[in-house]
Amino acid sequence: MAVPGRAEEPGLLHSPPERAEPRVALPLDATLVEGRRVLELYVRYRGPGEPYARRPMEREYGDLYRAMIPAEHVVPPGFEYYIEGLTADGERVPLFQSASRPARVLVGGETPASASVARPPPSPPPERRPATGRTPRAATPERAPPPERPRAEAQAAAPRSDAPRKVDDSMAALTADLPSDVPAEPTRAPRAAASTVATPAPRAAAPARSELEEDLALYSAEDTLALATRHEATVRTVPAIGASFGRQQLRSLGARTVADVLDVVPGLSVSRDVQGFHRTAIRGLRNDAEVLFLLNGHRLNNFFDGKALMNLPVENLERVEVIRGPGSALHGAGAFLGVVNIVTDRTDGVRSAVSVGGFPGQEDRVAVTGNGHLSAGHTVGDLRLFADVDVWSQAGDSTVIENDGLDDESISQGLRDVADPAGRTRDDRFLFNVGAGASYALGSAGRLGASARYLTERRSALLGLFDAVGEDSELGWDVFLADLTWERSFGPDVTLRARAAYDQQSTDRFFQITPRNFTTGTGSSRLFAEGMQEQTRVSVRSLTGSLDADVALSAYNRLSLGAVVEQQTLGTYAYETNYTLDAQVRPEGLTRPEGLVDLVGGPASRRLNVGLFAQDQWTVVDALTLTFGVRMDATQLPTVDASGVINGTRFVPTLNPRVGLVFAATDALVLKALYGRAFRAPTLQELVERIPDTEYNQGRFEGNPRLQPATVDTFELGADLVQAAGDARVRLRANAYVAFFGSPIVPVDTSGNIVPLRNRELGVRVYGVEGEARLEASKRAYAWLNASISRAEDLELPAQSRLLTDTPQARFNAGVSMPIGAYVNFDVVVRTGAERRNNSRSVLELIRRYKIPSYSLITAQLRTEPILDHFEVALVAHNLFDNDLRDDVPRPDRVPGLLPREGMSGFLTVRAQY
Amino acid sequence: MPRSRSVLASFALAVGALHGGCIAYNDSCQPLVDDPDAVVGYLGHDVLLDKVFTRHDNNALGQLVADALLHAEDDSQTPAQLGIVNGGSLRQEGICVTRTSLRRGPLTDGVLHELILFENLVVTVDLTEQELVNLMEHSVGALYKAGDSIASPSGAFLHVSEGTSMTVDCDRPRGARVVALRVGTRDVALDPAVNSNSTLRYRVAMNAYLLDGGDGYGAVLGNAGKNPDRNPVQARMLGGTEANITSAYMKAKHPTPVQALMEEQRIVFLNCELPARPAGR
Repeated sequence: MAVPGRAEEPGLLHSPPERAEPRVALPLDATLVEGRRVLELYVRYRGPGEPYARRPMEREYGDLYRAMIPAEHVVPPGFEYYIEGLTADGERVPLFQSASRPARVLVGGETPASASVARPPPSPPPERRPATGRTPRAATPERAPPPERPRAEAQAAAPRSDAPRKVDDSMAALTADLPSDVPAEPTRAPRAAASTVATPAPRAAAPARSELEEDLALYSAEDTLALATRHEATVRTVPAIGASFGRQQLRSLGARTVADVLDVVPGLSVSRDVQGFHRTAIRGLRNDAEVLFLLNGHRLNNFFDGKALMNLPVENLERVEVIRGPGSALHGAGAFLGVVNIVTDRTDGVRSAVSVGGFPGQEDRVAVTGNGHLSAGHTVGDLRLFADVDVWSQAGDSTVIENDGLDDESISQGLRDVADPAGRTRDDRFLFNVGAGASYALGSAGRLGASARYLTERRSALLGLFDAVGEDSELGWDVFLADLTWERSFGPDVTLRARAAYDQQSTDRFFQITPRNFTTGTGSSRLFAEGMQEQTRVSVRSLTGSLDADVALSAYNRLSLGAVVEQQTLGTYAYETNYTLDAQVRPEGLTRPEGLVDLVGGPASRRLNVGLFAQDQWTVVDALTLTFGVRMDATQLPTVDASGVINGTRFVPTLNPRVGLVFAATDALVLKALYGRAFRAPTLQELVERIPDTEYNQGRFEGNPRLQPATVDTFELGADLVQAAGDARVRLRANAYVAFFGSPIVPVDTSGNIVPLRNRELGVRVYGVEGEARLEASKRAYAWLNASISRAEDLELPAQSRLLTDTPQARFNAGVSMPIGAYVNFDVVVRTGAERRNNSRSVLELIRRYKIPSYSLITAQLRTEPILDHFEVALVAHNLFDNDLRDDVPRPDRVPGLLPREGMSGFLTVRAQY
Repeated sequence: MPRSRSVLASFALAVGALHGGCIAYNDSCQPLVDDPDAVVGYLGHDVLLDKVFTRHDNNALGQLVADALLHAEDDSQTPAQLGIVNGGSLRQEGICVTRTSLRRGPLTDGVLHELILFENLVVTVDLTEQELVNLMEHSVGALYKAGDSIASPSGAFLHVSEGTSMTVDCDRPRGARVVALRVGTRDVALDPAVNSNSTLRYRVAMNAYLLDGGDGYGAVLGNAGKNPDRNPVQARMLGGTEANITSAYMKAKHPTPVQALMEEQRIVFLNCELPARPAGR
């Protein structure tokens, strides 16, 4: 029963009926309380798939009002309604529930599809939805898809049926995004639209989910994930520990970039390095090449150094998917610590956003950031088109760096006073991201899709190259991605997909490594008017072909098979300095230094990888699904002679198995037990890059051609519990894991300015727990929190030194979203991290101590509900209390203040969609 | 309200436990050796550890390490003729205490390992006469001229072992500052026109850091450390690290106050700025 919250506001006493007889008009009675302002009452109702209809409530006597739901609308499975009042000044006042959170009435005796259902039915495994008429079990009532899982159900049916089916973004995400040929629904519920993104073939009328189902799916925030199985499924039931952030969650987080999102995932921490790269640590370990980033299923990690241009704006994204733990059984090399898939929004319609704001900058000025975003999709007959574009221009935060590695020289040369700081951080950034694609249904020949994307980034270095402030540094990065896909179903049981993909990445990293007018001795030949400089330009490209098939072996057994061939090539490599090896000026400017090893054309500059994988998902009994998978890869790596010189290549085989057990112990409780192995090959940079060492270009990794692929074996246990209490719903998740890294590739500074890389033979062990809780009182009112604790140990070290503590061992994140009136929402997100300290893997690391205190960052946001159905406005403040967060630097002895991160910032965003 | 308070208290307790009780860090003051208090030898005078003393002047500790490296392969068929160590290898920042000097008297193994922090391996390798000269020129190239302030002494400065002497003139240009170099009984030819044609080889012991090009020595040493023709041999005794080899050498050569370690004038500085030593030194 709804009662007024405050006496002075109008309210309604109303007991919603739970059930109704079909085809019988249903009376709704309500008593208006404190209703002086209210002139009229209306009930708005709708049946499955219908728009809301309005019906006035008639005054019976006193404050008692009544409306009749017409018999023709009281049809199975049910209808939804809410009640509002109309005031004298024309304002619509919600009195009982709302359009986004209506009351639900079951018609015809089915299970109530209400948010207040105490125990949602278990998520049926995908295999449990055989093709229509294919198996008698499909008609068994108890196996009918429960309304709480419409999305997973519909998608699960897709690969095995030519019958109308719902969409699976998974292959879009993984194999290049076959978009939907199903026109978007006229009323654009976000999830409904999202679910049509990649509908593969048939155009026969899909069994469109009712709005009731849509709303329920949205209300229950049932995250979906394609990464874990190659088929979209709920996070709750996939054989992996994952997380997925849909559009609505991205909005409510106040997130502006992918890094903002990743930092609230349990077990993940995002930090930055002195060059300004965002670095994602997963479960206590941080290595750029060990987190696989995908953009619509296309790998973003650079073949040369493993870094990924991943920090994209979220405005044009449909969702961000994260798997913690190994993913090589599906994704091959690099899916080591985890996998992140960034999925762009390709639904029909037009969406745009403009954001302006910035950081309180130097001298009371605001460092202004402006960004604009546009995405659109359109379906014309069998042709579907989609495109998106981001433009991001940022004058980022700038914070004082008191000391750097050239303090003594700069001061003695009179370049600055003792009291002056070494410089300031710079975080300017320009990003342009444009993508477009099309797909076309070829009738019985399947569906053909093509997409392309171009990203370009120009930015400054946050601090510089290594240990000295280089404010004139400029880093450029261009990425081009192209995908061509084809998918066809052969009968109800076999779906075949083929994909060809090409990408090219070019990086141009120019660093100023000393201040201007720096001298390395006496004489003009040692005076660097522009500072000592160096520039590294690298381009890489890769060509990938893959073929995979889904085969329904039985109603409860689904087999995926595939093969991948990938050729990666180093196109150009140019390293130039404006100084000689003995620190004199090069009159000709930036020039290739003597002794530099030419990487292009060498045996290591090309890498062919061949992978074969198979995965079987077998639902043994209703509650138990087993997943067995294995991927075999042969990776071309260099061979070396006795002196360590590369003399050829060979194929190094790796075998990556995966076993998953998902057990729905009760309707509310799902248990998981998982094992997986992953591998990652050394990057080209780790293998062969050797920069001639000088006094001023310190801190380089020293390539090691002897490096071998590293492996990780991970064991995970997970539990997922969903409970309802009244109208509220609570979800609890908990995971425990232990991972054994074999021969991890680790740079350990043992000398001070050259950082050797090698496989650590005794390996690294990580274990920990992660917990999540989410309380949903309504679609607009919910709270969540997650916490993670990890412990990483380098087993090559004595017990007193083996803990790896350079990333937070504990993270705690929480958020609350609540409505303020009918049109405004208030979101708060708190991110906390435990104290970080230096590792002690070498004596150098031991003595270069640093301690980064635990931190708490608060994001607060005011966000409107859709205005006139088309517009949203959000006002967000990041790091609200200007917490002085800092990240580690490679030489804390030379930069003792460490690396300052972004302070408080505020942004106003206006979104529009049509 | 009491219930709310208890919920909040429980929450705070849980967060505190999360951030406190479940988190562990390494013991940052753990000694580097099993018996840190064991005396490995005696110093005959105070040894100054500031960078200007370890990187811009003769230094007893640097000479000790160079001597230890020189003798690391004495038992082999190809013992070294010269040991060198870069001043940057000698550190004053200890595990949990920074030292500006070592007092005359006993030196413990724990302190010695903190002074020679880098876990560098020792390698002995043949160098040509020209490479040896270039090595020394690079070593002294960054020395400050007399009258200049020693702002940032280079860690590339090399200390040399017993039996080797060198004279440096900082008034001369870089690359031509070494005016005399003697290794054992042999005067090294400094004239490039001569030493570039020399077939003489000098067997030099150094740490792998230098041989790998650290401190800018890559341009001088090239790939000597990987060239079988130069017969690079990695020391195997005591794990092959500088610190362990030096510790053992000190035990053998300076075990009593009578045999205490003393600084020698192995490098003679002409027209170079030298650090001011405390009175009495």
